[in-house]
This record gives sequence, C-alpha cells and structure tokens, in this order.
Amino acid sequence: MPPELRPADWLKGATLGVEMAAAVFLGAWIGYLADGWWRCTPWGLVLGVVVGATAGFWMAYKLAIK
Amino acid sequence: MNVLEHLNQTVVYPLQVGGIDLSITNGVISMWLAVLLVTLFFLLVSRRLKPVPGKLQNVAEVLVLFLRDEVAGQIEHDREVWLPFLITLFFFILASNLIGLVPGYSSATSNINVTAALALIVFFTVQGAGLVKHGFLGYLKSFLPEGVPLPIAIFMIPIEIVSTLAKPFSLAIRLFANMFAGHAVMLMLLSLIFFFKSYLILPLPVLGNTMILAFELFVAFIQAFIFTYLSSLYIATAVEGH
Repeated sequence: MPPELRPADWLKGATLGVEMAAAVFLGAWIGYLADGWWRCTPWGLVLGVVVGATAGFWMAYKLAIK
Repeated sequence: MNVLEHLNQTVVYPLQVGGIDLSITNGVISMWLAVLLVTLFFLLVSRRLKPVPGKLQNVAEVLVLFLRDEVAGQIEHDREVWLPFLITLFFFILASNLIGLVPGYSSATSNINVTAALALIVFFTVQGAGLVKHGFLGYLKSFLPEGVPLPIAIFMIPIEIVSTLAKPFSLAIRLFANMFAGHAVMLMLLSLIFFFKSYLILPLPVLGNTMILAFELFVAFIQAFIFTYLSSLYIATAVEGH
C-alpha cells in the first residue's frame, strides 16, 4: 500500500528539476572560482560540474527513497 | 531598441550610506507597497472578526487555512511556531507578484536581488532551526549520511554541502525566472507594435498580452505557493531530520 500523498506532494518531484540544475550550476560556479584562486584551469570547473551533478542526483535519490 | 531596458531598476532617490549604494529604486518602492498592502489587508480583516466571515475575512481565512494545512502541514512538531513566518513569506511574495501586474508598477520579485534575499532568509532560518534542534554536532552529522564508510564520506561531504546550497539557489532562481519571464514576454509582444509600425499586427500583442496577463495572475499565486511550500519542506527536513 503506497503512503497517502498530500495534494501538494507532487511539488516535491516537480521542483526537483530546478534543484538538480541549480546544483550543477552551483558546482560549476564554485569550480570556476577555484580555478581562478588556485590557477588550475580547467580542473576546478570539471570537478565542480561532477560534484554538482552528483549532488543533483543525490537529492533525487534521497527524495525517491523517502 | 532593447525592450528589456524597461525591466531595469530605475533610481527614484539616490542614496549613499558609508560608501554603500542604498538608492531608492522602483523595486524598493514596490516592496514597500507590498508590505503596506499586506499590513492594511490584515489590519482590515482582523479589526472586525465575525463568526460568519465577510468577504475580506473569507479570503484571508481560506488562504491562511490552506497555508496551515497544506503548506505548514509538512512540519509535524511546532507547526504553530513556523506558521507566522510562512504566512508572512507567502503574502509578501504574493503582493509583490500581483503589484507587477498593475501597469506602471514593477514587481519586486522580478529582481534577482530580492528573490536571493528571500532565499537567504529561508536558508539561514532553516540552518538555524537545524542547529537549535540537533545541536552543533548533530547539525554537522546531517552533512554525512548514516553508515557511510570513511573513504566515501570524504566525497559525500562536498556533495551534501552543494546539495544544501543548491536549495536556496533554486528558490531564488525559480521565483525570479518565473516573474521576469512573464514580464519579458509581455514587453516583447508590445514591442511588436513599434517594430512593425502597422495596425495589422495589433491583434497579436493585444490578445497575446490579455492571455499572458491572465496566466501571470495564476503564476503570481502558484509561485508564492511554491516558494512557501518548499521553505516549509526545508524547515520540516531540518527540524525533523528526515
């Protein structure tokens, strides 16, 4: 028996897309800043995108298992 | 011609305090107006409360009960503590969104600085609530999922930090983008008149803007609801830790 959903519970899933995109952009931005600070272009940006994308999927996973 | 120039902030009263630009812009006036409208609305409603509600009291009751049951309903404990914060947030955003629909007025929420400030308020409230509820160590432990081995924990901490920071970031972007996009589309349609300089094009901007204005009214409510609902969700997650 699936748990009872509140009428607005669909929002949690519907808003996840923006949160995933935000995580990727945020990771990329932090990575870009790190590139400037430590002069390690492009590895900061690459690592930032990977961390951001993983964070996005991690949020989706946490929501799915709730 | 850049039609989007109309969405820029115009300085009404230049003001510098200690080298910081605190100029009064049309967005600031719009925010003051939103605060004034919400205050006046609730003063009018609460002045003469009746067992059988009148028109204004009915509107306020429907919205407040909806916020209490559907939005704050996610917070299982101490819901009443958080309800005033969520109601204030909802009505301020709603008033700001609706003011933008009045010709000649700008919507404060179509400015990224305003939505970012609102998202930061929510972020610090949520983090503060988590810190008070679970203590400093418990709060730090929330950045590490249970039962994670040490080699994986090193990777999980930055991922958890980014996912925590992504929430206010997405809150700010979502509200700003939705409000800005509506105004931008309306301006684009209006600019067709000046671009083509012909009466034949007139039905498109007139009908298009009428439809978009009606849709914007819906968006004003739905975006205020989404922002408040997600704020409530983040508070519930921080306080109840699930």
